[in-house]
Amino acid sequence: MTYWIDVLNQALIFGVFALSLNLLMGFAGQVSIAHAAFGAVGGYLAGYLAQEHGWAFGPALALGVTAALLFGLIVSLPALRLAGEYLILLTLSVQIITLVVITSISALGGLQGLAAIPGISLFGSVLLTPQDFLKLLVPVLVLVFLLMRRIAGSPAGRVLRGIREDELATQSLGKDVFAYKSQVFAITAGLAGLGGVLLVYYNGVVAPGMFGFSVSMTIIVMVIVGGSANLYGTLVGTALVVASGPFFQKVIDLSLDKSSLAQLLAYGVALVVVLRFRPQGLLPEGVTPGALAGRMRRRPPAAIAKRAERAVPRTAHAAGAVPARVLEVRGLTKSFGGIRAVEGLDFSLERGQITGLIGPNGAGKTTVFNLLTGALRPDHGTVLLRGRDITGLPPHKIARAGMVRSFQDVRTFAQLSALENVMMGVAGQRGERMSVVLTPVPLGPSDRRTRQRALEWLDFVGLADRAHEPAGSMAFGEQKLVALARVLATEAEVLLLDEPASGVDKRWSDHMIEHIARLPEAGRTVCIVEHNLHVVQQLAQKICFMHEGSVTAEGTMAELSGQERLQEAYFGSMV
Amino acid sequence: MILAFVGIDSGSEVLQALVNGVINGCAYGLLAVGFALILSVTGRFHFAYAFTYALAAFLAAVLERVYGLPLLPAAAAGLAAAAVVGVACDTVVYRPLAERAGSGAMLAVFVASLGIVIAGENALSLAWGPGPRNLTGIGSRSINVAGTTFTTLDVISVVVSVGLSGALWLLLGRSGFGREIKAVRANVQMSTAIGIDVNRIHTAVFIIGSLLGGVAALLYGLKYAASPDMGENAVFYALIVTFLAVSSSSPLRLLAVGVGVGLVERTAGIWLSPQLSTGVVFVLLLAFLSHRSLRLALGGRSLSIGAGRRWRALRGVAG
Amino acid sequence: MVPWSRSRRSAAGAAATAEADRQSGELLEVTGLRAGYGGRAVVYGVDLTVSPGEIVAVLGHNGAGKTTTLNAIFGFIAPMSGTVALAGSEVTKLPPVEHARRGMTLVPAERFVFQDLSVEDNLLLAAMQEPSAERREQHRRRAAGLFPVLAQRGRQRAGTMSGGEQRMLSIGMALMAGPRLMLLDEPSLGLSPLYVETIMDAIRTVADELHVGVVMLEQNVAQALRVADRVYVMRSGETIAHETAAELRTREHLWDLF
Repeated sequence: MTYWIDVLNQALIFGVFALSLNLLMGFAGQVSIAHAAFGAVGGYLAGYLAQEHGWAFGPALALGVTAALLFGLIVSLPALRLAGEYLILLTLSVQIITLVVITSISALGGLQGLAAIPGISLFGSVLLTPQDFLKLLVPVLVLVFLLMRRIAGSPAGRVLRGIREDELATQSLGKDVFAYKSQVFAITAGLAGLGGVLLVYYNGVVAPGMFGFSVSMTIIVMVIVGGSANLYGTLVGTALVVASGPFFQKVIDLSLDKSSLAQLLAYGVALVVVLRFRPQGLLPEGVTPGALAGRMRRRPPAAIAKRAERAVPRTAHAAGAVPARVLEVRGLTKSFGGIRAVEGLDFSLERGQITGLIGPNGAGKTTVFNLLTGALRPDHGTVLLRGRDITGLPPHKIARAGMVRSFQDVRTFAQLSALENVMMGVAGQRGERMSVVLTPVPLGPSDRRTRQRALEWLDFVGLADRAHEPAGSMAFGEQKLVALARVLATEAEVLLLDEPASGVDKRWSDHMIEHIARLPEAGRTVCIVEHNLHVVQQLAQKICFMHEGSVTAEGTMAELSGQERLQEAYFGSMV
Repeated sequence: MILAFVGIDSGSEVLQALVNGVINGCAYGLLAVGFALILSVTGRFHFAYAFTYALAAFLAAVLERVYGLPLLPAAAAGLAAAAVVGVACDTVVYRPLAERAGSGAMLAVFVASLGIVIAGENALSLAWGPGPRNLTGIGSRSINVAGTTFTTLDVISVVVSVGLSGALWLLLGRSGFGREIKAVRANVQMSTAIGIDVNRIHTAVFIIGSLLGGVAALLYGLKYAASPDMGENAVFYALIVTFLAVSSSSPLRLLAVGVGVGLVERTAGIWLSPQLSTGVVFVLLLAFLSHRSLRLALGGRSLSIGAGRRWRALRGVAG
Repeated sequence: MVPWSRSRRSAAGAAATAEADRQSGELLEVTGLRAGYGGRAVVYGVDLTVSPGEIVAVLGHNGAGKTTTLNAIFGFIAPMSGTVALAGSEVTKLPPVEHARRGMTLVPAERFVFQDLSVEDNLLLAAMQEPSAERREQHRRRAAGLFPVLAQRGRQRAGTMSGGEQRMLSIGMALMAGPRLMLLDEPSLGLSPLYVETIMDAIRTVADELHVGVVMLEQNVAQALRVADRVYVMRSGETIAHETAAELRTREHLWDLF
């Protein structure tokens, strides 16, 4: 019986590791092999303080967790701009170096570690037996689970998922992606530290082998097999992984040593098999008791009003002395290597107008959008938005200042529903601040308001009845509409739409044209980049012709098509 | 006097460090040549290289000690096993993942290859125990030159490393087959357009790369010992040399950078403990990654645009 | 040496030279082509034909689906529906290597040479489909005749040549396989007007003297019209116009086609 309680305790402790890793990997999309190393920081520090300096459990725990959290914060700095395989390499290096450094510090016991960690004395009683520890570990796991669930289900959690799906799109909607990444690294590292402290106290020893590369891999297996971005799945995954120990020892009757080897072998095979055949894991994202209950209750929201009668949601903009030229660009220049992509560009957008930006291939149009929205920093020039200088600001600040863009390749958050995509755009959500999420403030009412607002925008583009479908499974034309609704939901005054009608057939491009044409009514100023001159002609009141990095002509389509030199620039000279 | 100030005991200590640096460095170079070939031609982050590396030497050692085979057939069997497993990784795991995952394949492949390493190493330990075993069969005599010591095995090791790197260089530069490999490395779309069977080239490259790694492992096993987890360290050397030299470099350049890393490591060993001086390599890798991150930051670009794509691909979701 | 991936044209295929094609009629026949990426179509029902010795230009705005059409014809992407027939035999579902074997070559718009390899290596590689050493020499002489720079700079790394020279190399490479049909994606992209003229003239010469059929995607409408015989104009994944080049040249403006 004690044996099984011991197994359960191990599962509870590793549950802490796995749940926090799932938040980092499954929800935020940051693959990390350093989780055990963060545990090592917490566990070693607490163990050292307890054994060598007689610290009580409480303070040792607090310091251990804090140290792990800070370490996570430090590691997040280079990690912010790395993705994919480079991030994995970084975390792998951190994992290895941490242990190398720890084992070289003699005060920490070198390769042997420390073996006389005192017991935990809590509220008077001392925890000795596995049954005693159960009283501590169960509440801890429940608390960690509730915390992870709260973060994951909050608007902040939605932002994390956005970061996972498409960092650039998330940033361009006004979210400070780097802040979120640092926060999630720090929080999950701190929790790993907690797990480390618990593990050390439970075993009464701390040794490097407890926090090595295979342990990090084991935690990854728990997350991936159980189901990324599914906390319940992680519990299942952890249970399975921990149960494999007794399985190999009791059922297959292997010795303890052989069983550990067999377990690791099984984990490696499980990882490969799951990635190959069922990458979403046993319980995929969204398959939770709460979601299933909700799905049964919910009926698809009916379209709020019939298409033709649909009013355009008005956007209130700050009144006062605001110039008629909402956007003013002067002398914008950007070179890549030796190539001048944009050269002394002068450009402006009049309030309430739709402006078209056209030009032959390679003229630099998308680069201009990138420069205006902060995805690229200009070499020279100024960008004034409503009179305010926004040159060189990062994308999320520009979005908050009132200018957002859509992407040519749409960039919807594939695994989020259409509604969640649009909700991501809504500005000023209280629950998006991690500091708010970590306090027991109720997030329900504000989230309901966000949902309602988002539904209105989704309805504006005619997709309210598809609100709960994952965006990735929708037709490309529908995704473009979702992306439009998403960008509208930010309530930014200036919208830069990059090839809104491309990649779809005539029926869809007509839809897009219909919606975009109504935007000035709603108080928006729009600029579209398009190669399909037919679309531009139907929408734009003013057209800017861009050639070799600068705007060489402005006017209506009729005016521009009459100019021979433009004809030459666009079509080549007719010999 | 100056030397003592800096903490060096004698001139010969420095010389020995240099000699050791070159010896080790050639091994690192050979490791990198195999790994870089696979990475640059197929684009796969074949971390399971750590396993094929260990497999070659450990299997050979087991065949020698447990089953009494002479060195040559045992080594041949080890190498063959490494090549077969390497190809299997590609055809059974990486290729299907890449086909499904599209542009984010690298991430899924990397994580899967980590799984292969864990599974493989522990399978070997289960079968024959995790204990290190020596490879024997090449007599090794000590040589003393100018106050430094090394063995005949060391000389063989250097010669083999240089020789194999040179052979690959010749293959790539002077043969039709090598030309096709370089074509696939340079531009997969064009290669397909002119009729090269890219999958066959991938298979060939996995074989060659695994064999090169396997030879490096055998040399290590002869000098020290072979164990199932010996690849974990080795693959990091392969990685850091590959990154510093750029994966598509010529084999000779990779070898040279390998020697450079070996020299840095051994000279650091003059002052640092052996463990820490190994840590120097990881610090180098960390520095490389941070520098890359810094370069991205200073280059005026806000984000790695491909990030979200890769995660989606890892999850097996289209779009 | 192990001929790992040498794919050689079968004897039957080799016999079907451009000469024979001249008698047989349509070299390339594309009907009802529907194609796209990741399950969604961007080209909706395109028809196209090319005869031996004919240059057909496909014009249209960026994103109209021209490159997708070309990729689908060559087999880089599998068409979702429709057929592609080369000299009467269907090649729709075949992989690119089979198209190459049957005498089709494709020169992409970007990354159209092996930059890290020498000019010499580039040409040798492109000749993979030509089994006869004698004919390879013939093709090489022709390529050098059109573009003398290729013979002079054999050992130079292709990536260090100018854009125009690289483009010339790409056309030379296309010739090395002795093709019957050349698919060219924006041969004038990024080139100065002088190079554009030279390249276009060379393409016309190839079509005339070797009776090779050419499908050319272009943004440089004026230059394309100078050498093309017939023109298709695409917009939003469909063909909106199909005329002879002469007819198109007489149009007052082209703006409404884009």
